[in-house]
Amino acid sequence: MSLDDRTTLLQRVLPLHDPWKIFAIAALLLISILIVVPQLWIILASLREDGGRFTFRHQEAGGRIELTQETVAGYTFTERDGTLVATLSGIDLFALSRAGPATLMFEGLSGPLTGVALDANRLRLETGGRRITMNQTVPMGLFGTTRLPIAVEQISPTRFRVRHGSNAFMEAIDPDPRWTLRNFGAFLSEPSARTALINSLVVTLSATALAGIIGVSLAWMIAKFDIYGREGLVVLVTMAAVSPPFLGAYAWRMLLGSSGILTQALGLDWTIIGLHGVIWVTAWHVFPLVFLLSYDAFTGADAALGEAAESLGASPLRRVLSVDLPLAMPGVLTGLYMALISAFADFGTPKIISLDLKLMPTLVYDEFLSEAGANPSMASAGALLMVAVSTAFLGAYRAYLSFGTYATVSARRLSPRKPSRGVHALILAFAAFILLMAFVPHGTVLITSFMEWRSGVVFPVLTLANYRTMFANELMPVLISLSLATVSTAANILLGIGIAYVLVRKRYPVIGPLLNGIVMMPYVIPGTVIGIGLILALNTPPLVLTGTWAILCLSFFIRNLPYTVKASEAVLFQIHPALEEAAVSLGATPLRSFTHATLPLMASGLVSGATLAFLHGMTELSSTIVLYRPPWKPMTAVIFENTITLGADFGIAAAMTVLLMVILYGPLWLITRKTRGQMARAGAV
Amino acid sequence: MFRTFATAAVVSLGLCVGAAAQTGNIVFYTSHAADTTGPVLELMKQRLPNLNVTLVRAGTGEVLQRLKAEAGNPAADIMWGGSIQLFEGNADLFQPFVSTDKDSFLVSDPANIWHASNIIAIVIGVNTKKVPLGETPATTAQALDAKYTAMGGIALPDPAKSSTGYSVISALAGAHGWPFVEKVAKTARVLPSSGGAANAARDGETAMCWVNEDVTAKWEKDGIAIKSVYPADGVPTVVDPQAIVKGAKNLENARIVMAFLNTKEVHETMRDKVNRRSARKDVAPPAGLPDLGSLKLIFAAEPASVVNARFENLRK
Repeated sequence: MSLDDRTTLLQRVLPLHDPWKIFAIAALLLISILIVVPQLWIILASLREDGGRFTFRHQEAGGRIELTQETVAGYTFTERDGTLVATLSGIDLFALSRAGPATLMFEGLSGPLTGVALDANRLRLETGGRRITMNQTVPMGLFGTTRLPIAVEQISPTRFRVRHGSNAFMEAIDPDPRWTLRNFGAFLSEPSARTALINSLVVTLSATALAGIIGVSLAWMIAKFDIYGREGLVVLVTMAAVSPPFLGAYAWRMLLGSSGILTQALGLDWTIIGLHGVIWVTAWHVFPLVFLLSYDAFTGADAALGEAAESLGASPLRRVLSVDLPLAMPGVLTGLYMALISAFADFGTPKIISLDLKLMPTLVYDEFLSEAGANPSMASAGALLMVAVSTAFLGAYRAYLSFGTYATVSARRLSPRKPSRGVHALILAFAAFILLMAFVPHGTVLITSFMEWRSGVVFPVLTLANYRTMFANELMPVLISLSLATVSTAANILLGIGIAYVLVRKRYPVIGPLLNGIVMMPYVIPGTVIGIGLILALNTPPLVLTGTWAILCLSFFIRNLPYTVKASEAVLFQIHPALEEAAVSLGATPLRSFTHATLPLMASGLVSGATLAFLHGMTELSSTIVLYRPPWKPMTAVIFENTITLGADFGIAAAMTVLLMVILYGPLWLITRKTRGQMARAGAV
Repeated sequence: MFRTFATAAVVSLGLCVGAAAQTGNIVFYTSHAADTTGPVLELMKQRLPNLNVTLVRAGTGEVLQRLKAEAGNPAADIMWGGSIQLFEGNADLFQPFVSTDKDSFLVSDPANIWHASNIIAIVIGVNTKKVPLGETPATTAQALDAKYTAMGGIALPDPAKSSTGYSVISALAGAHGWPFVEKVAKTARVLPSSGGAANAARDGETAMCWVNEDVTAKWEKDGIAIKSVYPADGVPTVVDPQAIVKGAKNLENARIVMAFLNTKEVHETMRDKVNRRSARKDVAPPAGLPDLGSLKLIFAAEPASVVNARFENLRK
């Protein structure tokens, strides 16, 4: 083999001539590790269960061993004349019987059985390849009782005796995992899980429908008619699209809860707490997505078609239904799809509004936290179910879009017409109502942040105390949120541009589609699930990141990657490759032609992509809530803690929310005025 | 008088020496509400000014799960709050601390793991806007009556996640048997946290809730429409302790803080600022709370594994 041959071979394996290919492979590896691996951990966890567990009590009265049937899992027990026989997978493992006051006898039935006292209250039993740990608890009155420590006496290779506290409960756990598909069945057969799934679907579909009616109709009116303050309205709706999480939920609860401000003022006997409330609040939370996407679609459609329809005698209603709406359908649908996904994954609203009703995100969160670290199998099964539902939404959306093509050739943009005075007033009233509803939460929180809170109830006394407390005690979270959002956004931009460039310009076989598929995965994975995946993957060596700043940053990075990649793609499509080719033909390297010709032209798209990522980072809650641990506590976590916990100070939550709004809306106001269209499109997937 | 003064002097001298030497961190995992920990932490800032305090607040169940998950490499130094049953059931997560002042307490752990802080009676908090004055239930059995369900029902913190919830269910099962608890399981509105349950009754989203007596006492004082009912058929009562986490990173500080938390001054602060009954013999109960001797007290009997499994089963 000559040197040349070897070089060629090397080039084939390692595409040194094409730095973009190296980048693409590296990026693919990186995001596979960050995105796919945590999901695999969730799948693994969902397929695993404890070897088993059971609790029994050795009662002195009557000398009985009482098994609590409800606690038995994995093992089965049969009683044979005063002896309990433990069976696992059809094999009798050991027998358990009374051997005197506060004394038990264990006997191996399939080979040796050994017992060791671990400390005063625990012993370990080993037999037939299983290890069972038992913990004694002795029932107490108010003032406790003295317990006898556990004492184990091995009598023969197959038998040991245990002395324990009188009337003790023994809680036994066999932690060695077994592989099973049962968790899915168990999850779905839980009535609470089924109810949560149904509740989630009802909320998601109804809220999206309501958001659709509000968003599409407003978008159509604004696109079609020349309305006073049109641009300002669009900017305001854009701002409503990035409101702090569960701001709406708490504000609506404060206003319309059972003893809400409005409820009392109007003397109503009702409450917003319940599924109807979740639907209402979620609809106002997601309608801006539908509006912005639909508005773009209506203004982008070819005006000539609608005019043709009218000149052929179509009624205005018919024109809307058979021309305007079908033409705008891809945009409208994208908006509805985005609303659907965010409504389904929203954690904050149901947490605050649904009280004892469970929805999928709150159920998975509660399941995970009540089992964290030990055996998160049920939560993982629930998490996978959520991903499945989200993916089904995506499938339906893609299937619908593929039915027909809606693109028009060389569209002439719709120029809005002057409405009659009455129509104008009606539209303005409708728009004002929508804006009022969208900004009710903001106003409520702003006002109450200047009022006195006592025992979690607002009193009509003006004060700056909330802000004083916040600035005195809670400034770190502001820095943490800002640093998280900034660093994750910078990483998003760096990788996002590169990936977008590779996807649009290079179109590598296999690598390209894979890259695209994985980048978009976080878009359908609810934040709670991303958080759980990261914890499962990064809770054990070699890399332990749980509870750190880094794991939050990773989560933000993963969740926002789809937005930056799509934003960069959108701009790249508008930049002609010829510019770069010209640079190359003049002798520039591929990299130099990219950095000097293409990159500067992408700037505007990057700004909108970065803004979006930054805003999402500042307001991220659903994965934060699973991942954060003090001292790394972002602003949203402070708001969350001070909103729902007992004795917490909602005044601080309100002040913090106002500060968050200032941080969000300052830059957003400046940027939306210039690049709103691109931002909306960047959000579209 | 002189003795009290002398004790105070000795204690504060000891603390001053400790404070002078003690710098660095102390990490609490706590299920106490912010307004419960607040006054103690303020006092601690004065007495141990060089300690940098971190507080992780979550439900008792979550705190325990985190401790379990982190066993071997714990982030926490002290677990603050819960019930002695939960500390005993998870004794392997904690390490002993020998208090020099054990005799001053009504109750103490022979194994020196947990150190009692308060004794808490769990009351039924009744929202007086939801339940008309003459119809306030006097017993737990009455509170489960269907007419209250129509008014909004009673909120129960999930026993699997909250020590308040566990203490209520375990004590009711011990006093009235599981058939009675079955009625609770079918009637109560189970919420994920004690905070959520209490806030629901305060806001009138439910008519009643099971809640620590100090919370409703404070609410009544703040003019909120809530009334504490000490059920005549049994008041679930718990001892609320703290313990040093096994393998605590800041062990020296943890010991100093534990000694501090056991002082009469801290117990008096908790009594005066947050209406808590002290577990110390030398601290009188808070003004306005009924004498424990006048109540029928009931206690948790079965351990959490049994209570949670049975309760879950009854809810299906």
